[in-house]
Amino acid sequence: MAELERKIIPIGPFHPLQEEAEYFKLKVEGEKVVGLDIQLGYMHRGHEKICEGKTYDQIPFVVERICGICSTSHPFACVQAIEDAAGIEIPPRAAYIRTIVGELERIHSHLLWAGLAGHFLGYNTVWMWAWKYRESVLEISELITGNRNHYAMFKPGGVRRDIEGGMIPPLLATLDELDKKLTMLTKAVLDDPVLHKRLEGVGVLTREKAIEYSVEGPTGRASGLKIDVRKDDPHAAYDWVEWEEIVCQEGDVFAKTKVRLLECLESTKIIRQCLGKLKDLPEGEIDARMERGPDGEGIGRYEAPRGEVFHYVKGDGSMYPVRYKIRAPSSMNIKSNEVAVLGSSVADAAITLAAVDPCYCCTERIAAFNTKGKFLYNWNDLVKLSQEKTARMGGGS
Amino acid sequence: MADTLKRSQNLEKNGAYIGGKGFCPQRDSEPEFKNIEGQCREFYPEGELNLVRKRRWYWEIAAEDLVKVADFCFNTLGCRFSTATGEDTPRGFTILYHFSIDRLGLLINVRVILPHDDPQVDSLTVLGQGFEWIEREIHEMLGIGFRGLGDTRHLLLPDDSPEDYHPYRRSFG
Amino acid sequence: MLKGLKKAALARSLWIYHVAASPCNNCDIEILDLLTPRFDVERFGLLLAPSPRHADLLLVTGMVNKKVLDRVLRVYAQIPKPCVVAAVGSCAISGDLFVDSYNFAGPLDKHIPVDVYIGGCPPKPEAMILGVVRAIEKLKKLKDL
Repeated sequence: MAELERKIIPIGPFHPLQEEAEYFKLKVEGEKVVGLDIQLGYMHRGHEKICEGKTYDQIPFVVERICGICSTSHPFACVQAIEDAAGIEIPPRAAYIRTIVGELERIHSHLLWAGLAGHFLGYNTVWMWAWKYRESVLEISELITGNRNHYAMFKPGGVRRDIEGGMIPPLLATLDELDKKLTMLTKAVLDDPVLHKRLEGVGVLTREKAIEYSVEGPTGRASGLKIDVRKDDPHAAYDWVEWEEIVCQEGDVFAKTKVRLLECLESTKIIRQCLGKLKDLPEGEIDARMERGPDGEGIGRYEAPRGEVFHYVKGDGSMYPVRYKIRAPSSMNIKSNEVAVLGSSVADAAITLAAVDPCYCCTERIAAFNTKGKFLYNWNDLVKLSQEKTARMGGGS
Repeated sequence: MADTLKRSQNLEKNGAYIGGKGFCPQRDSEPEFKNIEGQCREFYPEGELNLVRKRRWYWEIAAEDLVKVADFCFNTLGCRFSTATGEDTPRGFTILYHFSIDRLGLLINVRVILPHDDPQVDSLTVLGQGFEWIEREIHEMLGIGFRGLGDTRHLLLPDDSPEDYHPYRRSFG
Repeated sequence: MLKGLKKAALARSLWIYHVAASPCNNCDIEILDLLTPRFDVERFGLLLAPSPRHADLLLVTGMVNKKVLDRVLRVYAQIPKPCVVAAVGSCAISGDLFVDSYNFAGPLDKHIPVDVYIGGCPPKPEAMILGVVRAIEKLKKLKDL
């Protein structure tokens, strides 16, 4: 039987660089995706070795630059690993401030993903709106920490800057505004019939496969696994405020969208409660000084917007670590795409691969090949196919 | 109070399942921890199980029994595999496998020590696909051989790096 | 006269091609931020070009690592000259904290000529707009058009 093949010539000059864009290689037969091959290495910078040459107060700055979107998650896990190895308890005010900064970053990261997902589907208005509301989150971050990203707030033993009384009223005002906008955006996305048709049943990751691939974070919670490091491993102020874990059972892209958008609403709830409790604690007590380097092994974990971030440190009493291990959540989640994308059509490939929320740069390097190895589509073509499918169904703007 | 109720109802209408509120008492229950400790000691009494902290256990086992113990953790205890750390120590090449029991927040870290001159250990990809990438990374960074690992291409380093280019070895650089 | 017209046309609406040479993605997100309603550079005619052959301005982010160096050089070879190269962020300018890494292939200006340096970690969008303005001024001054 003759193999069905379809070749689309990309619009614009075909640049001979395509054989380099081999991060994700989709194997395509006709319209269906039958295989996926993943190659990494373009982002490898050697952080673990660099950390071995830095002192314990320099390491949070190094690990912050692993990822720019979840830039607080790595220092959070890092200081917890060092405190676990040294046996230090942090003062409660520092715990509340850490929680506030972590949750602000979660909101900004989920809104970023929502915007990009909207763009891949052809809803450019969603992209512009989500990033516009994200700006208000970045402004409060700048008010509290001094920078829109890369906050540099964490140190082993506590935090570096305090949230003063005068900062709280503008914070609360922005949170009220943000709540209204988030509710509106969530309702607009979750009630749209075209998005239901487009995303439901697409890119399904079953519960058994999710356990086999050891996925975590929103990807795992959308497949019915009830795992959230904030609830499982008690740290910072997550045990002292009331909030709920969002778990869905279907495992498709729509479930992943639901989990992320509803988590943003939970985050504003957490931040409000933390701000309320900060008023009762005396200002200035934010640091338990670490006098000497830890002697022994320590492990710190944190729930980044993408999943569980894992840091392991081994010290020998001096100010330099002997071994430092970092594991970002996307390493476990991206591999699960091998099963999630099988059987879907090429037009759905773009949104399925992006639903796991890899770093934006990594998604740029996706290309589709037919089973004979002939190149078919690059990333821009896949996005265009996805946007055209939405337009055919009557949605998008 | 009314606001929380309305919010819960809205979440349920959208298909979300409400997890525990605040902290859940099962997570901190002492009998559960004792039960897991008993099961570990009974299954593999030759290993050295060190309860360093309430939620951080370190278990040193022989390299030949790795698949047996990992299967016990992954399937019998129901752990999730977090990651594995490879290190070049004076005792030999150490691989520390981190298994997590999420409902208790417990991390069981299984340690194997391999000799410096010929480091070989069985691959855990027989248990599941989540082990493949970290084994590939340890293989290229430390030069440890994994018996049964099908795909040994470079994961992170450039493809044209020389054969004995292992950045995490102490003899590197 | 044609030269003056060419210069004016070139400097009026720059098309930008963005190469991510192993960054942490923060600079890239701030570049995308320029297109959103708060800063909105599309009203000045600045667009992200789909291919290097359409580009006038090359933005490079990230510390250049050994696997990606080849790609950066190939993209630079494909951009029609005259073009302006901007190194965005302190990683591209000097390598930042990655200078000790075994995978570091050198700061960007060791491999291709850089015209504009936009510093910061990450550079704020206002700083990037200023960098683009400098790039336009530099283009206008080019004699060999």
